[in-house]
Amino acid sequence: MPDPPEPSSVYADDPAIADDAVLLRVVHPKWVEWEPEPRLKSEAFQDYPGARLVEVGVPAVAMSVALLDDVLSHGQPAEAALKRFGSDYGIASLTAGQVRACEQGILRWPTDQEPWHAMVFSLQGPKRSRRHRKLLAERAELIRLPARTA
Amino acid sequence: MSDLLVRPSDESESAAALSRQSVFFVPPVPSSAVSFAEPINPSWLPAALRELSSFAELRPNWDGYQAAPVGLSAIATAARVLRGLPPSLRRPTLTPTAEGGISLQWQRGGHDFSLEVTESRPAVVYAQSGDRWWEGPLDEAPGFVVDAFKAAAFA
Repeated sequence: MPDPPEPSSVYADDPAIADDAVLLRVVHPKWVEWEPEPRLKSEAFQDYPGARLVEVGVPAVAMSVALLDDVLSHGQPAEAALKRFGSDYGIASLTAGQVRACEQGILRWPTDQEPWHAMVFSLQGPKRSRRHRKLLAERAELIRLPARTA
Repeated sequence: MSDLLVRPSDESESAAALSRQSVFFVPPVPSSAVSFAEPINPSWLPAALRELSSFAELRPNWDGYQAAPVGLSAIATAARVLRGLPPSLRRPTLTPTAEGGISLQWQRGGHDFSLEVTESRPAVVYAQSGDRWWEGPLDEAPGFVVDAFKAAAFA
């Protein structure tokens, strides 16, 4: 299977998404380090696996987020971002400016089920580096904790 | 560093040949050595191996974002790494990755070291000490990575 294209060759950052726009990232329980205090792991900000892009329906690697303003404009609460994930998941928030400061771009990618859906993609290289994932994890705020697993 | 950390399985140890029981076997300490020798394995090893075992239960799309299941070969590699660690090392944080690999991470103060093992490519290292950081294949790791590992991982 050929490597997917570099995301920056396929996606373009949308300047209409203001730097103070809030992005919501759904957090799997395994992406939180619980001791000594809950903190996000860098794995919470991984791209989709390159081998699964057809199933995801996107042309290059990226990670999904929800635009809070779009969630609210559809008359939904922030927790609507969890609709297809279930109550065990948590939510982390970042601003678009924080994401862009980590060499990432953002574009809207609405779906029928999630009209607030957007994607964050790396502006450098074939996928988001661990370095940038770590920076995103350090800057994000866990606004809803996932269920704590054993 | 590369002597300490084991490469992914070669063909003589394919995933099909590995049973879960053999992957997680922890050799017993000889009774004659109990009174006089330092512990061979870290005290956290059994719990860490149980955690690795739980990763084998993850199904495709386990994260809701199309994550691949964690490969048995990746689990075996991570288990071998853990069993090779000295008892003075702190327990790493273990995390399954979206590509079906496993991340082993130590972090303390401004020092961060992680090793990601997968079935499909060589191990990748991320190391940070303060403002200095490096990320890439284990074989290409520069010297400061060892210092970052020691600062992050040893008790």
